[in-house]
Amino acid sequence: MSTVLESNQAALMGREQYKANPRHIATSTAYFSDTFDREQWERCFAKLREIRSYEHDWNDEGAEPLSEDVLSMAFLVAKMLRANLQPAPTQCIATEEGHVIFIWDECVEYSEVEIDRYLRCTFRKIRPGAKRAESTEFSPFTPIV
Amino acid sequence: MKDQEAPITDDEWVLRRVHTDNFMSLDPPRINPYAFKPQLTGRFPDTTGISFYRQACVADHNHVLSKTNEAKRDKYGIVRIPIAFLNSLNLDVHRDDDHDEPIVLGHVVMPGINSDNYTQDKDSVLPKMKLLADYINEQRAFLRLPST
Repeated sequence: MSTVLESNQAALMGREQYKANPRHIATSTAYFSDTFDREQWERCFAKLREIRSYEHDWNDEGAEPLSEDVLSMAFLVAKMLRANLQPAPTQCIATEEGHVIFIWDECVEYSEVEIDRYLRCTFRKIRPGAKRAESTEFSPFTPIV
Repeated sequence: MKDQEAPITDDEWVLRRVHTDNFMSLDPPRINPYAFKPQLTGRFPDTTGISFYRQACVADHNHVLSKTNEAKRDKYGIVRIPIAFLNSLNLDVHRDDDHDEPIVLGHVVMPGINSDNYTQDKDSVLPKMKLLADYINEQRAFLRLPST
């Protein structure tokens, strides 16, 4: 597990990338920006634990359980955001192809963070009226500046 | 009721099943954009587009759950969207008759949201999924809510 994460970290560090700067999320969700909702974060972690318990056909469409690597990365990202006093996501979901997605959808701009099966972390936001989402990869290992 | 061979008209509505995991809340009901995510894996990936059913072709909207395991139907809600709204977004639907028992009449697909474009260019597909979810949430276009 740690080997996978370490190698992923090395890969991410080598790319020209968006730094793991959750201030972008805070900017997108200014509505919440001065509110650190402990209970909502707890619900988020509870949902991640629930996703960890998923078994075959958890979505009623034949999906397989998510990989432990993806879940560990999702926990890591959530902890990083919480440690930086970021708003808790509105919802945390798993997808049938084995990704975890954190959704912030109670503000003007929609934001999400997706952890995919290659352990890439992608931040996306949709500005009002935009035809394309803006996305950028980040590493939860990169210090926030 | 309309025959599924009848042309799709602007005054119709299409129905979609939504799993309970894609409900952000039930009171008030709110769904997330992933209610319109194409299926990427499994026996029936949405290569030609995500599925809907024409409401005009089914006697009861609950018929769209006929293919779902009876024990799991409580996990699904049903939402509806007017064709006129889809046309305004340039998201048309095409007839795609169901051939697997139990047959549900009025099956259509939306080519603008399919497994290929979702995989290859999610940034262009996600805003469409969000527009559909926003419509449902704002118009409260829920015909059925999941009970679990």
